[in-house]
Amino acid sequence: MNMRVLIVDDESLIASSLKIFLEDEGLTADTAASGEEAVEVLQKDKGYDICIMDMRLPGMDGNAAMRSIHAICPEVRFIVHTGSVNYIVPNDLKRLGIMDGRLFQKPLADMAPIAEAIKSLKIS
Amino acid sequence: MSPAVTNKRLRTPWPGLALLMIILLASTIAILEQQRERSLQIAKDNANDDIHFIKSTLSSALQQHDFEQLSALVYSWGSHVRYTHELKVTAANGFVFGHYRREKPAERPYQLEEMINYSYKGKASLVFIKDLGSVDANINKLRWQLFSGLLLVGLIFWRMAWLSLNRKREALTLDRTNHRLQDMAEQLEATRAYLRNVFDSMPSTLVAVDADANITMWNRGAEEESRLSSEAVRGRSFSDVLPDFSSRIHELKEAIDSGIPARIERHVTHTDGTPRFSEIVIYPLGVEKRRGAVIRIDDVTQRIQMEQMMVQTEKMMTVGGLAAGMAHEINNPLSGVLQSCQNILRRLSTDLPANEKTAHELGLDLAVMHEFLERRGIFGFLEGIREAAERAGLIVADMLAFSRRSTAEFSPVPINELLDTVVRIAASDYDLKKTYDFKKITIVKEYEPNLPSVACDRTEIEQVLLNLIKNAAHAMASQESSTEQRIVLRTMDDGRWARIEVEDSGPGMNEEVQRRVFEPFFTTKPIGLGTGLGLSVSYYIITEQHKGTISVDSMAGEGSRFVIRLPYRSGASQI
Repeated sequence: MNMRVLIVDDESLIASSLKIFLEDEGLTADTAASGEEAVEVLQKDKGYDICIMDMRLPGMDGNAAMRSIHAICPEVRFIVHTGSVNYIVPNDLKRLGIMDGRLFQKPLADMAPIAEAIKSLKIS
Repeated sequence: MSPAVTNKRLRTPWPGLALLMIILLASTIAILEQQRERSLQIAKDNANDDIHFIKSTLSSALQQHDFEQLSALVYSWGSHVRYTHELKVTAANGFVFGHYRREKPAERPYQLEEMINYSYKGKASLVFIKDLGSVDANINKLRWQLFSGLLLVGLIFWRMAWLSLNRKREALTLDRTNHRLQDMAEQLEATRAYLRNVFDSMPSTLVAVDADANITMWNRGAEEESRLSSEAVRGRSFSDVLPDFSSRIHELKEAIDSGIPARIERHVTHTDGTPRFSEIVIYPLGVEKRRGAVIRIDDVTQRIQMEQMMVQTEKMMTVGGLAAGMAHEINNPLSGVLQSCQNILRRLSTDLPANEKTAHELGLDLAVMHEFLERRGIFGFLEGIREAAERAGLIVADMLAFSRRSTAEFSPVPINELLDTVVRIAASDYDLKKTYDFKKITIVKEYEPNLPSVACDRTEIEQVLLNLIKNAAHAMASQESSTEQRIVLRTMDDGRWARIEVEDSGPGMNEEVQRRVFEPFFTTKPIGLGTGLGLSVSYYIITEQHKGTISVDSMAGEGSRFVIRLPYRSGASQI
């Protein structure tokens, strides 16, 4: 079964290069430039399995976006990809068990670990 | 004043003297009384003798009936015999044969009467009155003489007693004055000792000089500092005794002349090559004829080093603040560069099935294209882009370390064990570009076996130590290959601190490098090999996060030694 990934990042180059990488890995990926846009996409199409979430976003931040998306699609799993070193997963999100334990710190010189993380989520 | 003196009383001689006088007076009166009685008795006896003699003489005169002669005889007797008051011879018929009588009334009459018989029926009475008042008077005179003599003696005694009393009193007063003077001297000595104490207990070097800058006083701080005793320097010139400060003689003289205190905040001296900073304050003494000054010298080296460290920390905090704001902005484009770079490399590779597919559609031979790119060095350029972006990412990450608030709970870490781990990591850290070979390095471990665990953030301390060991390895690798490459790892128990030393046999550092070694972006490594942040991050981790100290001790050509002190319990911030 093919995995569908939604990449949320306001930096289009990051989102698109990640999308390309994942597509080369045989996954299906789409991008959204903000939390609001991601929620909108999910409302229309609940077929996504995984969401790669940036934290610092215009408008709603990554955490808020994750909460909103979880409310719409509880089965979507999240991977955090952030530029902030001080990011700590809020306890309520931790409790939901919707995230991979790992955080991906920007800049990623190698995107393979993200692909691996997605694949491991698929298995579980 | 001693109590013995105050309680000492002078006993007046009055009661004894008075008693003596009374006894003397009483016995004198008794003796005089006795004497008077005796004198009276003698006078009475004489009177009896006299009357018998007169009676017999008169009796013979009456026998001859020579009455004329009788009258003259009575008068003659009366006037010749001592004390005679009245002598009267009267016939029985009342005829007076003779009568002698003094005009003055008798004071103490002693009357004797005799009957004189002459011829037939001739009878005459002889009345003889002696005035014994003179005897009394003599005695009285004697009494007064004695009394006055006694009084004189008494007066003399009294005077003598008084004089001796006075002398005693004077002696006592003198004694008291002496004591008071002694007390004052003692007090003065005590005050002097107290002031001396105050002078000595000042931790500073205190030197008092006269107007010619010759030393008059020298406190213990000065003695300890110079190893010269106060006696040895008294009277010697300031610049002779303290040659390190002789360059300040001009300021000293000026302050003395003008009476305005002077302060030299940073006087630099070099003792065995290390600079020492002193603060000199000159307080002129304003007494007109005894001008001079007190000079206070404080070693402020530590304070100035602290200030320098503060500046250092300040700089790092600035970098940290800057980094926090910058990191996100830089990391995003870097992500784009790095991720795109990875995608390009992948899409140029011959391994990816999608590449094959597209190439086939276009009629392109992937292998040929790969060969072309290889020959034209495209992969090298791409690799260059990737490396450059990665390095930029590392710099940002290092800078971010300054802004990181340590959120990790400190847990007790056995330092010796931690050092072993770090050595293992360093040994496995293989980097082609960094030219050192860890296998060539001898690691000497001098651990304190009973070192208590230190409450710290294990990963951070690990990072610091790894950084130090890598730096050491790198520094030694830059030397000629013949030199022995040796790193000594030492741990010690230093009171409240655990002391960790990382010592290498590398080329060492000069003073300039030592001073700047913890500065952000300061590096001696060739461009591309170091970010210049490793040691400043270490500095930040040790001093800010762990409230410890880190310092370097090095001589150019003789290796370097980094010393870290970590408090056993976190929160101990005193140095």
